[in-house]
Amino acid sequence: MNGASGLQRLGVGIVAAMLTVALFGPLVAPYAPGDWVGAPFAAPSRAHWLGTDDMGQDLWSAWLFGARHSVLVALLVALGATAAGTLLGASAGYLGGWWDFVAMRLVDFQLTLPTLPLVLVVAFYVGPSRAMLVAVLIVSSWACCARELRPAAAALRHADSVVAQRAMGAGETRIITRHVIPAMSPLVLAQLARIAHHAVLLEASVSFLGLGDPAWSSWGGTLYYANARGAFLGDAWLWWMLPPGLGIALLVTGFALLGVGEPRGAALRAAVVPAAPPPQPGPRQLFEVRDLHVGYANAAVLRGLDLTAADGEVFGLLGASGAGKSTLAHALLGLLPRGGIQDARIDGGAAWLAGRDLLRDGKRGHAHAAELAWVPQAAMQSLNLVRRIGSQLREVAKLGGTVAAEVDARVASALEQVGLGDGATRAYPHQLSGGMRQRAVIAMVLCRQPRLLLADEPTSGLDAERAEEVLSLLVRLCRQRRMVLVLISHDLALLERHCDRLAVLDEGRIVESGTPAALLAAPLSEAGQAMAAAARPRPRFASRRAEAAEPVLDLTSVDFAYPTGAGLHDVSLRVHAGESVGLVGPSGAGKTTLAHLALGLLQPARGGVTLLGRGLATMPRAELRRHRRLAHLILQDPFSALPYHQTVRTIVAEPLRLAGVPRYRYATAVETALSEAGLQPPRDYLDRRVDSLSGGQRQRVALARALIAQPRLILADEPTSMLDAPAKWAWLERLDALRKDHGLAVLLITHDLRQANAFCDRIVAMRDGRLAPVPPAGTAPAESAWVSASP
Amino acid sequence: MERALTRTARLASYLLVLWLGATANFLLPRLLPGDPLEYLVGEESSRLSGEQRAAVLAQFGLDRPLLAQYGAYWRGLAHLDLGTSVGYGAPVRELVAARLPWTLLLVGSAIVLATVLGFALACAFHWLRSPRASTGLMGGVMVLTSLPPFWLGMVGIAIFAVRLGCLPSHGATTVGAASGAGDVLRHALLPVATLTLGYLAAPFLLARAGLEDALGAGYVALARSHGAGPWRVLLRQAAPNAALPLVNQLAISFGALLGGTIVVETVFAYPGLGSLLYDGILAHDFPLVQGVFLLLVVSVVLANAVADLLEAALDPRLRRREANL
Repeated sequence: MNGASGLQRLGVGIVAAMLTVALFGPLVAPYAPGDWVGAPFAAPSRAHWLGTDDMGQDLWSAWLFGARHSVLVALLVALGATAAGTLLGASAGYLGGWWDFVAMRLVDFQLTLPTLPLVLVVAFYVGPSRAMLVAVLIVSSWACCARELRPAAAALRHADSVVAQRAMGAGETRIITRHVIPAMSPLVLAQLARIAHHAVLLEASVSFLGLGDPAWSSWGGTLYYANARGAFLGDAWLWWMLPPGLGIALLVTGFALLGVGEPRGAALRAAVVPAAPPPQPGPRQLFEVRDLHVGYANAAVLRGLDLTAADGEVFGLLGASGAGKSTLAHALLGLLPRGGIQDARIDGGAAWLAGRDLLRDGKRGHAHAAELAWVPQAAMQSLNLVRRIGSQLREVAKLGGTVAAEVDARVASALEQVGLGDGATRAYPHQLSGGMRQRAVIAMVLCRQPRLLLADEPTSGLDAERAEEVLSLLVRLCRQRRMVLVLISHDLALLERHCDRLAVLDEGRIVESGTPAALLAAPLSEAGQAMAAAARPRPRFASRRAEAAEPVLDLTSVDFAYPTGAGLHDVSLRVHAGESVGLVGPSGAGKTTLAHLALGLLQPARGGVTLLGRGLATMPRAELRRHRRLAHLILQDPFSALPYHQTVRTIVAEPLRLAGVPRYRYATAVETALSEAGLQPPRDYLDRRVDSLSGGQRQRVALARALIAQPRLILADEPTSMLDAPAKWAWLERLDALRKDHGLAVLLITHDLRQANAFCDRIVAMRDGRLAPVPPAGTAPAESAWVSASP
Repeated sequence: MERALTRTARLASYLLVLWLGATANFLLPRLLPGDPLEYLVGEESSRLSGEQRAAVLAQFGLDRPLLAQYGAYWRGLAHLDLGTSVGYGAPVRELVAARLPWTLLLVGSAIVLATVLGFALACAFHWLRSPRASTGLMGGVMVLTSLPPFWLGMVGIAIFAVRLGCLPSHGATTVGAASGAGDVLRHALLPVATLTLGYLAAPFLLARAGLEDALGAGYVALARSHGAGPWRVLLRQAAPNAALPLVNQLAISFGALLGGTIVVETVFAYPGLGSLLYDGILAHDFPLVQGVFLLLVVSVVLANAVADLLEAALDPRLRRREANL
């Protein structure tokens, strides 16, 4: 059990101990449970450790036999019900369709039947027996398990990691046994523990009511006799009632703790600030950060950061992911997480805004709030879904100290300034588009009178036009109100047009700062050079157009329609050996659908798809799977496309396994592929799991997995959109080098025209499921809605 | 669209549960091996003469074809006629009506208490500073709710009623005395406490997980950046989100608690539905068992339906009236 919490380990210990008692207890029991071996109501003694009941039966022996009964019933019920529930829930979720519908109605039905009365009534008709009890408990426990597992299985069906498997030519049976079941096993184990826990309690209740199987000594049965025969009257209850009850409680606790996940307190409080006095006397600028050190449990993130900004200035903070940008924002806002694995602490330094110490002044949050405001990354997901926009804005206005009478007017004016009508006050967040929600979050800032606005990647998730609108709005508002605006991003191209001054953050320090023009022209630091290189218009990758080479992929007049109506209409596309083709278009244009058609993962309604000289339409399934391996699909999101339960070694070797390559050849092939993909030295990566890798490293693992298959064609579906700017170009350069070395054909699917222009020999454009004219090269991002801002 | 279909199907499945429950009630004594009379009139059926048998069969309508009996059964249900208890010699409807309020008192109080207490403990869990204290609280709640309710009840009686003598050990009121509200409360105290402790885990775990999600969400960080303190964040931002799944849980707990009342009412000899069902089972009083079980099924289905409606009313995403902007 990976990452088991202390409570879970305790649960494992308890259940293991009870299993031992159940197995061996009855063998060492001094008496048979039903024999009359002593005086009635005897107190505990050497001969009878727990004394005797009113019939003179030995209670310790009864306890040991009871343990076996309870554990046996619990395990049988848990195994039976979990098997049934998993089978039903997983198949319903994974297969979907009518079976899903029927199975889930069955679950609804089962969940509305009251369990204990049902068991009692059945016991009443059939007569008490252990087999009957187990059967009825299984029938009444599987439904919850099925309901819990179904969403996980449904999510896995469309999970990128499973799509990637299919694209590599893996069959469904293989996907289910090697990927779906291992990925779900922690959930199944939790269900097993939960059902066992309920089964122990239910069995005890039935036995306590005298409806248990009289042939078996059980804890509930002991309590039934104790209750019916007046154990209350003397001291007998102490040894007659307590031990079986505690036995039940112990076993139930064991199972309950097994099913508990990692308990983790949430971050309700700000991180600890050192008790030492601030390092230096007051600041000269409106906003100043001096020598700030912040660390998490196992690593220092900010190491002596210095910053200043003046009134009305628009200041850009540039940094690759992991440089410490968000940590800085969180530290200033008092939002650093406390407790658990992510325990943050401020190790030293100071930050002032308008003469106030941001790290020490006042109580949590309140001191900052008046002067400092924040537009978080993914702002559109930062609204409370169950409260109206108006109520959320009013709350902020009140927190900002607005007098009650003016709150409504203030909210209305804030909404107007960001271009949202008055109607938005009554709306819930889900009723607004992403761009509108983003503006609602900005309106929150305007409900107060802050002096400094921190905007952390404020345009991520917006397309180019919206991104430009939002940035212009922020800059305009800050100039009007003479606020300092600090724009945080990894994208120099985005910041240079708006900022007065830029600073580059690398490994927790500011490594250089200056005007955008200077930084773009002559960056001094290594990080600055990487940023500038990523932002400059790219020289074209050297083109090596394969003249008259044979086509590896040929789509002719393909039509395809989804049930929702979207799809492709009359799309033709040809990719030749050794050529790189860019497929560009806005999201929803049908680019991904085209890639899936090219691999035969979807079948066209009309038109033909030819992959390496063979039509896919008439190919038998098994052969299609084999043929598909000649092409390889790299997916957009490296965080979801690689399975979490396998090591890098296993992930990269998967195509070899599918191709039936003998096992002894894996090791060298995997190492070669990893080093070709730029993961050096490969041995450092072999035994890691993907959750310890960065996005860029993960996408290199995906590249290695593509290379090892020795495909003729690589379909790369937005492969770099989740990577930050420097990592993006490094990855593309790697892919281009490999293309030349191996004579691969590449179809690069992207919404970034600039990237396609730099990388590809030829560009094809799509819009709304049709081929469209290619926008002229050199189109600036702002002028073309195709090119969305990098996230 | 899909949600509406699911909701309709859900309603249909409720009706299906009701129909199946009622039909199973009707069929079981008639189809099971053995003499239906034994289920209907109890042990004495073997001592009846041929004429008496025929008379009894006719009295219960068992001499007619099965389908006609089924029709008569539904007509009876439509008039809330649940038959006559053999053991008590009174209409099941009256017996049930007399017991129902007591069970509702127990279950209602226990549900409210368990939910409030569970939610408060979940808040405390997130409030605690040290991970060790949170883990301790979690483990404590798990141990507490793992104690079997009937056993807790017995230990409660042994301590509070027998040893200390400060609380009554059985019944809903003191026999022979004028029963005031205080008397009823004193009698309900131990059973309600037992039930509450037994069902604390579900709301606690659910609220804990819900709060954990909510407190990690973007809107909480945003609210804190605007200066909202911990109390405001917990109560105004996180709690409304974390409370939604609790509503659905209430319906499921309701079914579990109704089951729980059987053992708890038995321990405390409390005159509710649970002990009525249990007495019926022990006495082989078939019409009584039939009637009470049917009522339990109906109430659980009703609770589920109410929870669905409540959830739809509380979650703005499920409301259909307001159009998107």
